[in-house]
Amino acid sequence: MMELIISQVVNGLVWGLILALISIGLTLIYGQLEIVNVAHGALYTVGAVVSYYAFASMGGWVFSLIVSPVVLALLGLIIYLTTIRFALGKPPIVTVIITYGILFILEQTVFLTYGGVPRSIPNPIPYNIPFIGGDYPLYRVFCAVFSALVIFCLMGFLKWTRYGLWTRATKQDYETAMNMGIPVRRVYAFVFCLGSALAGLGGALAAPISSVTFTMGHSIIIDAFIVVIMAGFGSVIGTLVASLVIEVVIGVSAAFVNPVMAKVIGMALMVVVLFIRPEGLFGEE
Amino acid sequence: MTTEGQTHSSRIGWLVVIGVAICLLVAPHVLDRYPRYILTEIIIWGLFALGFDIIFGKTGLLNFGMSSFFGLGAYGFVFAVKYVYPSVWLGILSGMAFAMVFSIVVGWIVTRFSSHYFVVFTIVISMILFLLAMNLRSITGADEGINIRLPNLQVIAWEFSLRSPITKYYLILGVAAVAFLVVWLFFDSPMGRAVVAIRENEARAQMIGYNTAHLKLVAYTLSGTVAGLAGAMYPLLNSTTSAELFFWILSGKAVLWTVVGGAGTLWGPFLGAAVLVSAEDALSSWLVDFYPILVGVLLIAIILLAPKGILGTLLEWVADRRASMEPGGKS
Repeated sequence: MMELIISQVVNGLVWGLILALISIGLTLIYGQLEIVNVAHGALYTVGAVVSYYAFASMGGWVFSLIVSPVVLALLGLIIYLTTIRFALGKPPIVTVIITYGILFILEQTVFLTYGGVPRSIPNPIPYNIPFIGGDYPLYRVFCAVFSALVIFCLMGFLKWTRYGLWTRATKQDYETAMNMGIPVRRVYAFVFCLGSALAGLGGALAAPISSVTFTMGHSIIIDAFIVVIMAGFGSVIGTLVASLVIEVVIGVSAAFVNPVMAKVIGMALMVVVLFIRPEGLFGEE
Repeated sequence: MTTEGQTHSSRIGWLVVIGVAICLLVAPHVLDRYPRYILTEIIIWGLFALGFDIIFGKTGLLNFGMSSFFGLGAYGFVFAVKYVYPSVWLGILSGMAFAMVFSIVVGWIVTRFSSHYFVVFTIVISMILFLLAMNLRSITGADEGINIRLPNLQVIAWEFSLRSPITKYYLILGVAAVAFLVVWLFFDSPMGRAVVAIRENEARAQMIGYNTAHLKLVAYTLSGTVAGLAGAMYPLLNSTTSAELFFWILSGKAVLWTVVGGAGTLWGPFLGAAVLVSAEDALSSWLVDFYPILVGVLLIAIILLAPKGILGTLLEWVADRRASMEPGGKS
């Protein structure tokens, strides 16, 4: 039993880091543009599908890890220029409905091109490492390390680079930032692309673990929203902590009850947290 | 605006209402079996979307989890008819009661949150319900659902067989009409107007002295109960229910119909459901593939270009025209 729990904790940490990658994209977009992006799960799906095609055509798995975020950043730019830019400053209701429309368009496009049949990518690192109570797939360890690396680079980027500074300044005070000569619109576009790229990268990482289907974004977007509101919209570090906590709780619960009930327990945890702290764990309001 | 203009426009309004009512009363005898079924379905979906309009269009809160109420209403009906006592009326009351109790409990929690938290919270709660319904197969039948045999409809001393689709149609139309009237009267009452004041300016409504948390809960409960009533109509029409009614796609449809028809108008949800359900049905098989894409484009276009929807834009246009025809109005 103890071994099972430990391996579930490790699984939870691995998924938690991948989920954090996706959720940070969501929370950055919200924190910057005040847009509740319901289509974020669809971006994750597109990321996985792109990595599938990249893998199938080029055969290179490392290649697919590069192509997915790049393609998704471009897609993000297109979405930003055609719709999101008109939604800026509108009430949250409007932004949700617009991104909901985007969700419809993206998901059906994937369905029409990629098809409804789940396909899988072969495990790119087919080795196991010895671990308490059996072996643990090396690829998952790689996912965890890689996600953590990306998240820390991202935090460093936001803290130390000029663009990061611009991003934080725009978030703090939009008008002053504009007066200081920061290209606010460009920052918005950049953040939306960055968020989309993170969703795409998450999809590419998850693709070999779970199979690639056009509905794979449904469950991840729910998890990402749980994490983001539990952390408090807009908080990057809070999102990281919350996704680790949620995934470990779900993972450990799955050792005792069936997986669906485990998910319900995760959601119930969020309800309890929000009931005690309506602004989220790390939220300021 | 002169009183003459007002009476004139309300006279046209009444003529439209009476015209639609006559059409709806005659329709089942004119239409074939299939279009009649679609029309019955449209009434149910319209009633469901009306529930959404109460919380979204009138109160200004985006509830993305309307499917919970619909599913609970459907299961409330089925459980009562199957396990308690075979009566249609009991089923309808039970469906409403299921949705009502749930909306009071959940509403008490969610109305504490500000708008974006509210949206996400309602999505998550409806997901919990969907997962539970799919998981508790022994109770809900999961995706296979539960089939029921409909009892006869009893009205005072008369008894009607619900095997006739025309009887079903009139029953569903009648229930929807009563529900619509109740909602209409509610928003004509001082309390209903106070609810609309929350949408217009919550801080001001609070300053005037309204207990906005309490009013939001009332609106949330009314919205949930109406959607639950629509849900109870579903097994009445189809003799079956399944856990898929809890899926969030259905919540999205309520948003779609209401936004397209005209949020906050109460008639709009019915119009939106009528237009989109019949459009979906009429599209050729080639177009069916592209239907969700069209829906997405339509949603974005309407919310950005004509956020008041079909009916709202139409009403605004009529009001503008009248204002411009009046001497002293804007030319």
